[in-house]
Amino acid sequence: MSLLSVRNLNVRYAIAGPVKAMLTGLSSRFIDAVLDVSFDVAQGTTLAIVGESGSGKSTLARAIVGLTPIASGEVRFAGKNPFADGAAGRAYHREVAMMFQDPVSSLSPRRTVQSLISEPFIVHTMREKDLASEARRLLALVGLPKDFASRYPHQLSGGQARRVGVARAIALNPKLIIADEPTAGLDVSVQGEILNLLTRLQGEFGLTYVIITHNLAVVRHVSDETAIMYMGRFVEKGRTAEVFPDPAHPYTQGLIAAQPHPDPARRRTGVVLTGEVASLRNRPPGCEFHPRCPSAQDLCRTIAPRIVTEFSGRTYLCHYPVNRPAQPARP
Amino acid sequence: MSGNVAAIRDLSIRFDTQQGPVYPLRNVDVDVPRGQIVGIVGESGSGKSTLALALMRLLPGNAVVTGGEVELLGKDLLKLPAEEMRGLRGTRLAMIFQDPMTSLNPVRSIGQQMLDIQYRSPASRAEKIAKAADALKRVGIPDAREQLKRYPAEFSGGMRQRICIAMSLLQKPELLIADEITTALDVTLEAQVLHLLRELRAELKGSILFISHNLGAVAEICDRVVVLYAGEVVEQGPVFEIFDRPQHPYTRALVECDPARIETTTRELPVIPGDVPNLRSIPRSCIFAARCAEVMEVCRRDRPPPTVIGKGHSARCHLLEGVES
Repeated sequence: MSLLSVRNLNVRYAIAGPVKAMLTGLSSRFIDAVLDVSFDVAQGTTLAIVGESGSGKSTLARAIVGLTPIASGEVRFAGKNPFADGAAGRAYHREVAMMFQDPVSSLSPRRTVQSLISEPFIVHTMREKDLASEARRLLALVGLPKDFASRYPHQLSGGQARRVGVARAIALNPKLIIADEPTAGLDVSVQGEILNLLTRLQGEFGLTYVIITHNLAVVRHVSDETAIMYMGRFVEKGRTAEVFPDPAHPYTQGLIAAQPHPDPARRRTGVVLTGEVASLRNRPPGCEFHPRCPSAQDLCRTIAPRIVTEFSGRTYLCHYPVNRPAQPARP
Repeated sequence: MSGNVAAIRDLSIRFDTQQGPVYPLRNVDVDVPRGQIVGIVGESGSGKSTLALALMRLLPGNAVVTGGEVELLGKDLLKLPAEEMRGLRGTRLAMIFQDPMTSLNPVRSIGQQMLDIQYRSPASRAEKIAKAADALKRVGIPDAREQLKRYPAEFSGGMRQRICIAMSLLQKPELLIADEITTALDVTLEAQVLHLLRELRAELKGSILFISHNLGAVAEICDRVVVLYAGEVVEQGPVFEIFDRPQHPYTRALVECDPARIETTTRELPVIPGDVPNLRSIPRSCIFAARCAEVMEVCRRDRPPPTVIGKGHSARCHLLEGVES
């Protein structure tokens, strides 16, 4: 059964007020940061959401935890709508935790590690807990020595700050953790430690993860399912072990090929994906990826592809998928 | 040493801080041969950027060069008068910084900034504008003339990094120092920038010192690789040697840690246990001894000298003594 279920989610940001929009003749005063995203995450599994900067992946994460309002669509957690009423919302915020992108700037510089990792208990009015012993328990879980409780964030290395972020996230025994770029800015040797820690905690507590990242090398090792995001949409989603060797969407293929290989014998001679993400203010007509797509044809410039679902559960948005028969456009 | 654009010999640097001295670089030897791309790899705090700043003579005021020599473009860098140093920067020597968001002036247009840096040239304004537009075209920016009127905020991160590259190439520098220039970019843009550097290198005829913690990027474009760990060069050699036959245990561990290198999927990723040593008090032992999987008695006692393993390939490790070629 799926723990988190998202249906046709849209998130939009206003880029101008109504008056400015009228005076400057903007066609729409909104941009759609997340468009028609649907997915399910089963209990105890990991979904990785991958995309370039500006693809909407962080907005999607914030919308799921309720930090950004949803324009339309639905989020269901364990079968219930968490935003329906206050009581459900409070329970939801105990069961869903977010790990923010920048580990150092997401920790208040004026508070000690103990105060930071016991803050969730105070927020959720669980003052009866012995905060000092809870802090020691959490530090032990994330592999930090007890005396770190009295340190301040500036006394931590990047990897240690990330561990404190993990401790804060698991403080209230959540079911779901949403991790926004959990390894960005870390050295490779430390990156492995954090990912191994997340894997160990998943095994111990049956945690479910949604990991937002742009690092495909990491995704391949830690996730069960992978979703590729482009201009706010999921352009492909499927089991990680199947998507990497056999991508269906040309964008997924391009992203995998863009990853440099730490092996000088495998140098590339050309660039597969050229150009940059188009502006969200004026989305290209037809398939939004066509200006960058190496296999774009006339159809792609005029008609938007519909979601194709394969037998394996793989979904993608493309008229001319890689190594697959063309998908005729249905009117 | 005429084959080298830069030759660093036994360079050591100290920072004097309120908490006492810090030793970010110790006994560093690096050669940058003419026409080659030399990669400097290392984790945070390994001294990569300090090395770059030392070559530009842009070290902060509390830095003291405690020993060694640097020959840069045939001159003794450490004894060069400030006046002459300014003459080198931006003409024969150029640097591109990590963050394209902060290395451009936000209140001047790209064109103004590209004119500003040509202030030494006797060419006319029109010629300078033409040169700037030409440089933008070379790094793949369309409508170059129009773009010159725009401000940094009007460009995306990848475009800004291209503009920085275009600016650094205006004078055809003999040595270009690129400090983590792809770190802030997405993989697709990183691939484009690396491809651009590779293309430019032929017409540049100069050398590039490519500083990065991304092994993939280094493997992609470098001819030689220097591995820095906690302020010391632990290994250096031709790129194929470093990636195919790494000799120092740290290089081996670093290459093995990269998840992109691991073919079969695994949930248990390799790590290098332990922490980087504190650079305030340098042990007399091998700098990597505390974290090394193959540590021996002698490693905790003496610091190993560089051992030559092959042509242009050397490493500082006691395990290699006796295998000297």
